Amino acid sequence: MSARHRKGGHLSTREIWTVPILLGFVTMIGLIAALLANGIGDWVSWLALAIPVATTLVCLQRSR
Amino acid sequence: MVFLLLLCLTGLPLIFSHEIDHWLHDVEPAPVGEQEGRVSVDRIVDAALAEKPGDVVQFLVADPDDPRVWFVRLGTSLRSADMSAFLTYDARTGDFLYDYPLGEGFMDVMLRLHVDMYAGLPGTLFLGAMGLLLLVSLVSGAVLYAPFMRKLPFGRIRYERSSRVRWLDLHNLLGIVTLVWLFVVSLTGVVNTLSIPIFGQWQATELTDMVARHEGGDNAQEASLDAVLTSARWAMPDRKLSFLAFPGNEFAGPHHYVAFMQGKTPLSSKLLSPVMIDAGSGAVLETGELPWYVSALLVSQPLHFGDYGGLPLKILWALLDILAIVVLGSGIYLWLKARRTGFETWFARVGADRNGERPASESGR
Repeated sequence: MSARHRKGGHLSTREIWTVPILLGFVTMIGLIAALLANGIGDWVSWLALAIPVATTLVCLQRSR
Repeated sequence: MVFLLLLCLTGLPLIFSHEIDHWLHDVEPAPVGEQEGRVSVDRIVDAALAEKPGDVVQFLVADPDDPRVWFVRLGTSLRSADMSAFLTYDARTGDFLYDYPLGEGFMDVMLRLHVDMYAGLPGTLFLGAMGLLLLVSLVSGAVLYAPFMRKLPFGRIRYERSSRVRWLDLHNLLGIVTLVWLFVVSLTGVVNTLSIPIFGQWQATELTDMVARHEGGDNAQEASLDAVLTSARWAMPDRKLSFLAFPGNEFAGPHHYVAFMQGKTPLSSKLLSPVMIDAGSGAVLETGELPWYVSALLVSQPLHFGDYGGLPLKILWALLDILAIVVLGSGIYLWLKARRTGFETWFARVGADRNGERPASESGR
């Protein structure tokens, strides 16, 4: 959450896409990990796929 | 859009179909002490045939998660795509455990609505086309994300603004968060809708060639199933049986069994390798691999169902599905708003559509 937007400035393409790309990357890891390995792979998947869900909840909470 | 909402809603209970099945009908085989033995499979298949006189055994199916059971799939004919019964037996005692109810119950309705809307292959292919539309709309949604987010930090919902703005922000947040997951689930769903043509292609080419290489030798004698299974295990010792197609079945030859063997690692357990076995002598005729397009289908299945990482993965699948439902719902809402049409006019359009007149635009976002 950069402070710049509050001054009315536009966000750069990089600022807009950083979080979405990170989330996309984490999601891909989550989708693949459990497919490649049991045990540790499952845990990586659970943690990775929990991140987008948790991000949503945090954002909804913060915007209130 | 409405079809996609239907897919997401019916898909939600289907994520847990295995758990719901176990909960609805207790199919857990009673543990008989520490007993490890295996009863003759011929005896189990004979018992299944006696259970359903007049039917034939199409497949013998193993439970990937539970070596204590065998499933016997019967049909009214060997080539029939439909099954007439799916019976569960205790692999250690040969006891009959369960006759899976076919074509009834809540989960079956969910499955049919999700898979073909009771319209067979055309219904499945239609839903596949809807999935393709979803992929297109995901791309267009991602393209539109940046212009809407020029002045807004990630994840901010402007609760203080009008309901349209609020829903737009929510649509953008949930849409971008679920984007990759929804893209993968849609893509693999589309691949799944092609499963009949994909297997059909394999049957028409590689399986037909395989059968042609081993024609003749019409032995009247019948090898025992135990011998057939032993042969299959001997041919691929580092793999285990997923299912066995019986002679005359579309997945086998006229006088040949085909054992489909799965690997023992998470990824290779999703892939299958065929072993063709002579129905007369029980000898291995040929082993092979399935072509890339069948493998692509087989890998698509877990990525669509979310059934490859235990219950926590299924719960996450359900949560992401719920978020996707909100994305679709808000997408419909925003689309209606953008068109400056109220629900009344929209319902009037839907009514007109039902009466045979098609509205000017319907597949928009």
